[in-house]
Parts: sequence; C-alpha cells; structure tokens
Amino acid sequence: MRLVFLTLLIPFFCFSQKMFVEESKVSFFSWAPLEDISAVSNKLEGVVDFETGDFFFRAPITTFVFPSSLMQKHFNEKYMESDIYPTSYFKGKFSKNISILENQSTIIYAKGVLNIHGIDQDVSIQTVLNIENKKVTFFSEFDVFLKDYKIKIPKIVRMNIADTIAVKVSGNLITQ
Amino acid sequence: MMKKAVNIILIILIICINNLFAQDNLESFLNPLPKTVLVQNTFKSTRVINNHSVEIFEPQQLDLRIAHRFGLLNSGLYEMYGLDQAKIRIGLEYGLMHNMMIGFGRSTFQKTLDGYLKYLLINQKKGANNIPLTIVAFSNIAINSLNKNYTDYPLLGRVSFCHQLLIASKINRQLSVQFMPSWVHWNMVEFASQKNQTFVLGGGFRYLITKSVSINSEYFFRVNPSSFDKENYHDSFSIGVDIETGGHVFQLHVTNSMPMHESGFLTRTTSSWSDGGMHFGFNISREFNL
Repeated sequence: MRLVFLTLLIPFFCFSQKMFVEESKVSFFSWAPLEDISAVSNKLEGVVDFETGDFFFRAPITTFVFPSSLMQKHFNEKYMESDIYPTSYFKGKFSKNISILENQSTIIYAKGVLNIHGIDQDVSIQTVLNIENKKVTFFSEFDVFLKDYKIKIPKIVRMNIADTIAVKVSGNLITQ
Repeated sequence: MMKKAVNIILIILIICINNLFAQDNLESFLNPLPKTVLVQNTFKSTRVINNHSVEIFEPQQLDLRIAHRFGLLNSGLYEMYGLDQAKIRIGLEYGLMHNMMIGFGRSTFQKTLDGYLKYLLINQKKGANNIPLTIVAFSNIAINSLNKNYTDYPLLGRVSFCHQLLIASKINRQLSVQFMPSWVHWNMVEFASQKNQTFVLGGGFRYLITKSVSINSEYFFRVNPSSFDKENYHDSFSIGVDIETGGHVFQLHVTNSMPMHESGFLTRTTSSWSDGGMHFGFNISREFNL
C-alpha cells in the first residue's frame, strides 16, 4: 500500500522541460479600403513541453487594446462575442523535436487546433524558434480568415474591416 | 495475494492517469481563468435617449456629441412638421479615470451651458461573485445665459441642478434596463406656485434587434410636481433607435422634450404626447482618442 502512495508522487519528481510564456506580444491587422485597424495584447499565456513537443497557448480576448475604445467595444461585443468566448487558444504539437540544450535558430511548424470565436480549425503555423543558453524566443505570422471562424461582418462596415486578418505573435519562454 | 494484485492495479492506474494529465492537460499548468467577469456594454452609448446611461468612457477618450431636437411634429406642413426649427446641443465628453467621466455642453435651448460628472460606484459582475447591478452617480449643473432682454434673473438664479442615481442591469445580451431616481433643483422659478425641488423617478431600457441596432425608450414620472407644474409641464417620454456603424452611434428618436440638459427635460417639458406634441431628434457622437 505504501508503494501506491509513492506512485502518487511520481509527477512531482518527473523531470519535465515545460516552459512558460514570460513576455509576449500578439497583434493583428486589418487592411480595408476605408480604414486600417490594429490591436495588440501582451497577455498571451502558454506552456510548451519540449520533451513531447506539445504546446498550449491562450489569449484572453478582452486584453486586446485598440487605438479607439469604441472599436474595442465593437470587437468584443459584436465580432468576437467575448462574453461567450472569452479566450482564443491554440494547442497541438511541433513538427519536430527540439532540444533546448542546443543553441539554435530554426523554423518549425506548429500543428494543431486554433480556436477562435468558439470554432476549431486545424492549422499549421510556421514559427521561428531561437534558442540561446536555454532561453527560447519565438515569432510567427499567419492569416486568419474571418469566414472560417464564423465572424460575420455586417454590410455597413464591409469597407472598414478586411476578410483576412494578419496576426503576428512573438514572445519568449522561461522555465518556472 | 489478492491485496497485492489490487495494489499493482492501483499503481498502474495512477501512472496511466499521471501520463494522461501530462499529455493532454497542458492548460492546467496555466493560471486558471478568472471566474468573475465584468459585465460591459450595458448600453451602446452614454445616453439612453435624453438621459445618461451607465456607460462610462475609457480614460483619455474624448467624444464630440451633437444632439438635435426639431420642432413639433404636429406643427403642420408649413413648418415642415418641425424641421424648420431645431435646437442643438454641442458637447464634449471626456473619460478622466476608468470609473469617472466629465462633460460640458452648450445648447441653443435658452442658451444653456451645462456640465456634468459621472462616477461609477458598482459595476455589474457575472460568475462566482455575482453582482446583478451597475450603479452610477450622476450630477449635472446648468445655467442659462439668455441676456437681460429675455430674463432679469441674477446669475445664481439661472442655475439649476440635477442629481441622479443610475441603476442598471444587463439582463441578457439583448435587454438592459435602467432605473433613475432623480432630484432636480432650480435656484429660481418663475412663479411662487412652482416648486424649486422636484423628485423624479425614471425608467428606461434598450433592446437589441440586431447586433448593430437597438430600440430604446425612457419615461420620467415627476413625484411631487406643484399644481402649476402639473398643468404646464409634462412627464418626459421618449422612444428611439440606436444605430451603430464603425466609429459612430446614431440615435434617432421621438420625444416630447425639447431641452437636452437634465433639469430641463425632467421638469420643463412643455409638450405632451397626448396631443401630438412630439419632436423628432437625433444624437451623433464621434470619438477621438487622445
């Protein structure tokens, strides 16, 4: 029976290479005929297990800051419906195993499920990883098609909001 | 023997569960999401129609607000059903802190200057710490600047005040209601039979029809009007729509009140719905971020 209790402690002793997002910047841009819109959040949360290559990233929707607070209000209320879908998340696996003991700069693909506005889509996002003295920084750029995530743009603002939103994500990871 | 087997099965089970957690639940390593969230966007604009709503601007947000009230709808074709006359209020509003905003305006109705302060006391919250109401304190001071040919009141006699508690609840995504107990004070009134102080109870709501369009309405009941006030002035009632586009909110409405400052429309509404004395009006606001 003592052995049973000991096994309960296994996860505490397990060596794991989990790293967490420390500083981050998520921004997106919409280029439309009448108006260019951009917003930034530096509240990305995330954890990467370099042993298995699994990752989970999460961005609270209400933390995106717009140049105009009316835009921010519309973004939350009308388009993202952040009262029902408070976060967007991306979970999956890296295309290849990376050792954080090795200094390197490499391009990998993060494959997984991107959830925006409550809709899951399978995506593969190209990411630049920089590892130097066990410090990891990452950067990626990708496009989001609003149609894929059932974000409807009313006709009246068709000229103000693009169908495709360009997203940039960057940040660094630390062990805790 | 039996006990040993049970132990081994338990150990295997626990290791399996540990592995499962390690692989599938990376999210559990992150801080849990907040259980209580602020309820926002109770109304589309800082006004229900004439009266203020509980909405408060973000700090450093400046808003230019232009309000129009046309003449009486029952004034006939010669006056183009009121379109020939209009009163206008041009105002600036500014968010000072995340829970306080101020505003200033001048309207052509009796050349009134008015300023106000709005302070958020309690914000509605949803989740573990449920708070069902948003409560905002509101104070407005107005002074008419008509010249001596029109009125011989001393400076202080031209001043009127309105203090309100705005109590609102966003019941669901479509429906928000607001209750507005108000106290209006006029420093000087025209006749001895009028009262300086009037208590007013107001109620209003907004109902979203689509994501960009809502129906709004508000009604104000004067609790203690003097017999003179009862005869000559009426309770304010308004109904309208809010239409939201990219950077603007347009508010179109029909109201029986011509004044656009609080003490004016709460206690100096001269026309009545019952005899067709309505005004068409609209508010437009354009925001700037400083």
